[in-house]
Amino acid sequence: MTGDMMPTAAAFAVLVLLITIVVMLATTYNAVVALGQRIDKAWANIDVILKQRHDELPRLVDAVRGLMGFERDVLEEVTRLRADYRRDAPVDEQAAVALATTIGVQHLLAVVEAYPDIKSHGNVLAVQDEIRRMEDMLADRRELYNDMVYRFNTRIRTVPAVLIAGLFGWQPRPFFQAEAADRERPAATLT
Amino acid sequence: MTLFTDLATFISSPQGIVVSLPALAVGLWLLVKGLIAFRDEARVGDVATSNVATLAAGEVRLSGVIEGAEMVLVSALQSRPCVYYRSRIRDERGDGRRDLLDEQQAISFRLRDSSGAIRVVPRGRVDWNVPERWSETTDIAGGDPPGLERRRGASTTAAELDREVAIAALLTVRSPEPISDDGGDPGLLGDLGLAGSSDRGRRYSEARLEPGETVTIVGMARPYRDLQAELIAPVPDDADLAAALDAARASGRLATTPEDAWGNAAIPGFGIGQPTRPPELDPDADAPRVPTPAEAAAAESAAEARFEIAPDELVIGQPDGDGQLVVYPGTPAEAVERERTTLLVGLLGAVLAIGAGMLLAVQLSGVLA
Repeated sequence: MTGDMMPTAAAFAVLVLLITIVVMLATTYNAVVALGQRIDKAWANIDVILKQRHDELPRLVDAVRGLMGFERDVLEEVTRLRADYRRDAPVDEQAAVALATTIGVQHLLAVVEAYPDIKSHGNVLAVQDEIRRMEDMLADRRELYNDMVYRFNTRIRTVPAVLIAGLFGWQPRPFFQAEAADRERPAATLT
Repeated sequence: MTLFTDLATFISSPQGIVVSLPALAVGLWLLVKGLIAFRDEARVGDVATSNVATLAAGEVRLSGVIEGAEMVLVSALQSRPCVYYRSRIRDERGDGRRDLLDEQQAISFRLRDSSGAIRVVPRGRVDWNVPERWSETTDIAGGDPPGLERRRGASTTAAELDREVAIAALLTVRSPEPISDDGGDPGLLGDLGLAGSSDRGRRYSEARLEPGETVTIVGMARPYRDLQAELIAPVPDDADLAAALDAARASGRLATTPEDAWGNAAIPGFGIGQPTRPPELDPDADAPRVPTPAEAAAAESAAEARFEIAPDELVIGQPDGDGQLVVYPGTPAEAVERERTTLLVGLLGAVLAIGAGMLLAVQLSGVLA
């Protein structure tokens, strides 16, 4: 190769490499930003269900209170957990409260199942179905949120995003999960 | 060894440009495809799969099995029931390639996963990543390729097979296909007004998605009312159009009523079930039973209910100019894998382009020297 063509060939090789790297980094940046937005949206969808459940729980408690007055501790536990709900709390705190509430509600529904008279009460049945629908929806949306967080956290720790993660301050997002202690069933006795 | 030395000498010579230039072009083309695949892989791979039953409005990825909604399409070249097809006939003789037919159609369908089903409305910008299902060329004598079964009726059909209609179709005697002057079948190209040109060197291909296939979709879930206005657009009040239609009717080029234009075919239900009023038939023909007014009214309301979509029902679709619907055949993992393979080939293309570019510089230096 003659001396005058050598810089041209080298410049071409560098240009192709540079274009490839720039396009891949720009695409990665856009993908990570989009993933962050999707996580925010997935969280907002969970928040909607948590709020709906928060509003619906008093109806369930009121519906069964008169019929199962002797199971006061179960009702009080659900009421207490409902009161712990804070929309502006960090994700991990909300997750702990939400999952404890889910367990409390499941416990309450299990108790209701044990009393055929209460179970067959029309009002109880309707509220029970609505709560169950919300719990199913919450479980699905929690799974979706955690899946998004998993994708985000994996992406910012792998090439090529890891090369620019520090530059843009990308940090791993918290999963919607409770600590082991929070998953324990609330203390309530069946009498 | 001598062969290798001769090849190296040829490639490094100015005449080797015939190798390096195409290699450079192919390398750059693969690179561009690879970079697009890198973007697409993020688009489909960075969204978690939602369940239909607990879907929230907004961008979603769904994976499930295609079900026909009310109607399905009939593909143009193989007459298969499908929800999407792209049919092509390409003349590949000589240097210039040209498309004799390039037809693409899609229709609303349902996507069913383990939790439920949702309607997909493929309107606006839709990226169909559907590979060719069938591809054949005409034989040496110019005859139809194997597997060609071109569509002879309507481009849509009922999604669920109606027993009565199926029996009627089986018992229908059709007139023979027209034969061209040279004794051959003018076929689809005859229908397109292209009969008479040689049939040799044509490539027929069809890509389609059929009910029962698994697909992955990335798109926007939104209430049907958001799309309703665009799907059921009012007929524009165009004075010029109305004047042109009136002139065509006055001159006799356009029939004044559907009955004048289509005869019995203008009667609702004729040929596809029970006609709503007695058709004009040959006296020797068996007259179909005409339902009572009550039966006709019930059938009509049932038909309307079948096509009714609740305004609050979530559907997958993009209003014009708002986002893009992406459809991949197979599961999400298969879609991501396909894009990754294309990216890998694209990166190899970059290596090829760099090598070819540097070789080109060597060859050009020889020419300039």
